[in-house]
Amino acid sequence: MISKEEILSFGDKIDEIREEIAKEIVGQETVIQQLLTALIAGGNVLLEGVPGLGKTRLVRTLSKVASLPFSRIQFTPDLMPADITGTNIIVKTEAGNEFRFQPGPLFASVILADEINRATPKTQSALLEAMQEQSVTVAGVSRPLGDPYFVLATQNPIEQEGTYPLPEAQLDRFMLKILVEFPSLQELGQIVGLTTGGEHEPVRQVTDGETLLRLRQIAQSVPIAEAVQAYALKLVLHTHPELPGAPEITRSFVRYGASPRAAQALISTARVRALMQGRYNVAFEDIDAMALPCLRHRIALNFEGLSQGRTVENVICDLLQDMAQNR
Amino acid sequence: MKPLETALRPVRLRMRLERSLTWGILGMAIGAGAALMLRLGGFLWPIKGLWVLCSLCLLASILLGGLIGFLWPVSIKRAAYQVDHCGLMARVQTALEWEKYQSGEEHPMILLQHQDAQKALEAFDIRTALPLRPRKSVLIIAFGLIVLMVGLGLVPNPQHEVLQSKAIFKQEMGKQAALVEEGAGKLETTDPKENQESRKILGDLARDLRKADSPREALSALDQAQRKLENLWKNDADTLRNELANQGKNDLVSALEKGDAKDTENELKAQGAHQLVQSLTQAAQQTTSSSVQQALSQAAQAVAEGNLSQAQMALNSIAAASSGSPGQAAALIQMARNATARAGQAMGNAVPGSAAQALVSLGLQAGSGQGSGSGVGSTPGQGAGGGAGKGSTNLDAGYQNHSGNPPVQGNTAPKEKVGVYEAIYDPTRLDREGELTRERGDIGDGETTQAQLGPGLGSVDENVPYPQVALEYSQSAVQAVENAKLPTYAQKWVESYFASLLE
Repeated sequence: MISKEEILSFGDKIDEIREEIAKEIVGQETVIQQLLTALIAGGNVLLEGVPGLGKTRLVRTLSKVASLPFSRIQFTPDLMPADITGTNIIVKTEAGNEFRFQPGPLFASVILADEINRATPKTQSALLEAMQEQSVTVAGVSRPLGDPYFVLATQNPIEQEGTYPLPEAQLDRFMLKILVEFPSLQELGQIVGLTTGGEHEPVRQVTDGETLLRLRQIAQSVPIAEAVQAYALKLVLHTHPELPGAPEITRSFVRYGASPRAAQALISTARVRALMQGRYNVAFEDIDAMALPCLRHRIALNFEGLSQGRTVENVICDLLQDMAQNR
Repeated sequence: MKPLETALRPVRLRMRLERSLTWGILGMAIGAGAALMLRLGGFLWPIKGLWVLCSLCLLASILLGGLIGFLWPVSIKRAAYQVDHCGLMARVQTALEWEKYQSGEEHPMILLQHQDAQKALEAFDIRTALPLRPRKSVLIIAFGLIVLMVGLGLVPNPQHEVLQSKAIFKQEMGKQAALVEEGAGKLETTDPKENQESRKILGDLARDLRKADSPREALSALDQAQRKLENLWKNDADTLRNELANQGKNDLVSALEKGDAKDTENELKAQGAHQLVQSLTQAAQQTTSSSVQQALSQAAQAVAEGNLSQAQMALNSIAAASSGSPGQAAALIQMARNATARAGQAMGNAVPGSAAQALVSLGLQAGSGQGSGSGVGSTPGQGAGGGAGKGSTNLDAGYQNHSGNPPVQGNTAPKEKVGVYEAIYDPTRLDREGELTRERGDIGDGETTQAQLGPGLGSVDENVPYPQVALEYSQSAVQAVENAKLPTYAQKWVESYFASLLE
């Protein structure tokens, strides 16, 4: 049973984690917040940004602060599924030779799948089971992964040659897609100072897996009004051009819309955000704030949208504007 | 947990006030529009009390709008939505929904959320968040319409004259009604029942005159009263004639029926005085009607004294009722009729072609006679001026001047003539000097006739039987017709009219 004190200390805990991460990572407040939101909501994140923005460092820092086992997998075209899931190897024992399972890098709490779009679809799908089921099946034996289990995949928006774009089914399994922006001049200066200068204060472990699970439980108990929930669901439905009541912008520029997982992601992340803001209920503003990261990787534009230079972000913003007027 | 409903009461009240203001202003716009329509209608139809109506319309719309806006209930859900919309971020809506899930032990999250919502509501500044600000566009439209409506008041309204003339008419009818009532109060006949009936008829007439909105209504009321009075007198006249017939005085009865005063007097002379007195006395004794009895007794006494004209008058005072001779009550009616005709003419002048003018010009009322019209030249001059009143027709039938040629009916505008007929008998001029009458003639060609009217026949306290003056009327009319340059068909109208009066 959750206690009142735990609820009241939620915000403080999150601030503590944030402050620790800020010792290693300069700027990127929105990225960090969304990352923490997804972590507490129990989802996986797709990070997209040009190389050198500190994506790997961010995830590593997070795992240090949360004292969670961390694995980094650099995806390459020759990476095999067994390389990430683990495999059975023959081990010589006193009793004789036997097969022993050697767990792969997936057997950690925080997984960084670097440049996931460079691996083959076969290898990508091996990650799929881990992300969705939180278990790995090798030689017919299903082995559960720990909890919390957090997969952060990264993607490079440039250098698309020789890559294997993630299929929609796999993209849908990521709760959020977070865009990592290039730092500002001031932030760049701080980054350079932090990384090329002398020693700096090391990050502390301020939380653990159990605490994160507890925080998740607290977030799941945040109430949501019927009107707000209906708003979130309508937003997802309005991304489908084939459904009745779809707005003009969807019918004109969208090829296919978001799945029910998008609605789940919206509600879960909105709950966490509300608590982070110091409220004990989900508001329309929470849905609006989480709409972009939840939907941008779940909607595909049609030819007309692409030819007119529209982006998914434009379409989502227009949808939100349209819905706000009719709220 | 303290219910949120209590905390939302001030919000609901504020929302009702805001709605009341909005609907009140909307009502003002609608009222102003309706008032403007009324104002515009006032240019087409004569509407009494237009400004009052417009003001009432506007005021009623504002009040109605405001009242409905205030009384229309604001639900708790709506109030919760409104405060959340003003920055409370779904706190109140969530708390209200989760209030229903209250059980013995509350989940701490629900409790905290509810407390958070209440705290936010307490800190909520209603005045800043829900200002009582009307919608500018509606306000501008409403004021614009009001200004337009007021501005129309500066435009000359042709219906104003109509309303004024109607008001004057009503005033005149009020005066006439008062005169009729006064006359009714002074009415004295021998028969108390007849007195009562006459007073009732006159009382009803006074009421109807006050109610009358047009000359047609007034004249209709006068006709009705006259018919009732005639029916009342007719009974007495029939009784008198029957009694005389029973006494074998058929010739006298015939003379009385004709209404010829000379004939009646001759018949009285032809009878033997003694026998006549006897017959009259016997008839008086036999009759049941007290007024007939009194008339017969008076006639018998007058014959006994040798005063035949007195006897003739006594008999005619009853008999002449059937031929329309004016008694006291009839004189009142005739006076009112004249006043109605004059007032109707004034109304007709205010509104050319109106019913009032039509009534007057068609000469529907005997004795009204002032047929001065500004009508088009094709209107025939039918202003027959018979009866007691200024019986003059001043309307020419499009008479066209041809020097040296006889007058022909043309399409020129009618000329107003002065004093073609003059009042021979006017109860309002009894015992006073007559007026000078002038008649125009052609320059160097015609003749000028002057006539000085003597004082009116009879006195203010007497009734002069019509048959006594009808002949003179007729003669004067024929003379005037010959002297005037009326077309032949108009002359014939006048002649046939007076001929019918003399029948």
